[in-house]
Amino acid sequence: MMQIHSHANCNDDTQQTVLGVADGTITDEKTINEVFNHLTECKYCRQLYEDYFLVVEEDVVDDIDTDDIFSFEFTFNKNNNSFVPVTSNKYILQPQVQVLAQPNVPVVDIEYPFKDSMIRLKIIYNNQAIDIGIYYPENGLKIYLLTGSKFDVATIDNHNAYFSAIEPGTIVLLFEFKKIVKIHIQI
Amino acid sequence: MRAIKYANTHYIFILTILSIEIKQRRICVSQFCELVMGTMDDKTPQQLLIEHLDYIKRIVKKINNLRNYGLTEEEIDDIFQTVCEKLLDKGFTNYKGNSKIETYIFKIIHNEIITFAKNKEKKEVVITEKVARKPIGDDSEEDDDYGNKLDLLTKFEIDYVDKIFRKDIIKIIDKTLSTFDDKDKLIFTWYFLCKHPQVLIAKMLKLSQPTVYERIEKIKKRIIEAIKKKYPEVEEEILS
Repeated sequence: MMQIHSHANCNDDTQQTVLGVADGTITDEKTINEVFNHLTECKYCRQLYEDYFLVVEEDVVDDIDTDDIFSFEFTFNKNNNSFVPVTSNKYILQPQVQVLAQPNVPVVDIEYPFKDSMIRLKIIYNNQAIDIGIYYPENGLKIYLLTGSKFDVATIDNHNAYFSAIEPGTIVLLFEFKKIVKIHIQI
Repeated sequence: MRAIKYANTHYIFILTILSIEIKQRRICVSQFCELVMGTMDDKTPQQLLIEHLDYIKRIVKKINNLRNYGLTEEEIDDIFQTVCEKLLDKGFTNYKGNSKIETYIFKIIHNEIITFAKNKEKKEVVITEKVARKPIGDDSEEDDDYGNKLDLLTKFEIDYVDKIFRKDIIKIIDKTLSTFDDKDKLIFTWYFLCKHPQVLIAKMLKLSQPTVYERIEKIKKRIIEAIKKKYPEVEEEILS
């Protein structure tokens, strides 16, 4: 294992300046020279600076572990009051199951693997907002909801969790921050 | 006419304020545009996080692989969670705007991984009672630099086994190093100790590769001259 250097002595501002030089945002000669001077003395910042070049500059997007991230994209078809997947995905269930109490409400069902089991999502379009029902066999699973304007947490209880009145757009569900489900709904 | 004149004055006033902002914060054109257009400020922490979730996940894994911290998948998930929570909790309020937003996120990830790895190492030391191991967070550079400089002697092909002699050589190197400018000091560290390629060093120091090459040759020459001054018997062929 590599030696781990402490960063206790360098404050947040210094680190941001160091990285500002690294990514080329800071172009002022004087600041650059000050940063180089600091790098000769501070082992932690030197490692931070090196790692930026070795990790971020060499960052290739293809490298994403696709098992961790699921993306779904739907558009809403007003003519037949239903969601249409933009690209086919094996986790989208067909035919779409309606909500019993509201037979005319458009619904999408998604089912995908998580921890040796299956998570089922029911996306419901209701009064220009989205509701998401989540079904999972084990209780206690924490799910975080992220949208452009909302951050919410729900826990599976009685094999269910529910998020309601979500704005259409990009909706992200994080299952214990392990699996990321991105749902983009265009109305 | 007066309205146009007023509008112009107003416009010049805004531009002056912005240029002062640029000068003080030392920001680049893209950030100038962000300031003018308000793209960055308009986004909520949630939006910024959504946009960078894949990036965070990827960078956590990459730093772990690069530095060989040996974090498990579970631990990587834990770090991912902490970084996301931190960004949501404090948001991007500490972001000064003197680097790209991705770079700022990289900094948070980097600090988090190091804190995590340090704590993990601490626990392992307690469990396995490896008393002889170097304490974590100890920033004294003597030990590992000593080892690195001994490696350097091998690179210079100085075939002496006498430890006292080696220590003396390291003293000479240190003394010579202290006379170098900052860039040469960094070149010495990155090329001879970290063994980074010249292309990467050139990128890091904002220099061209031929300049880095020239500087390396000068560094070698100065170190050898300093060693030969005290030990004239050292062969010229030590320059590899």
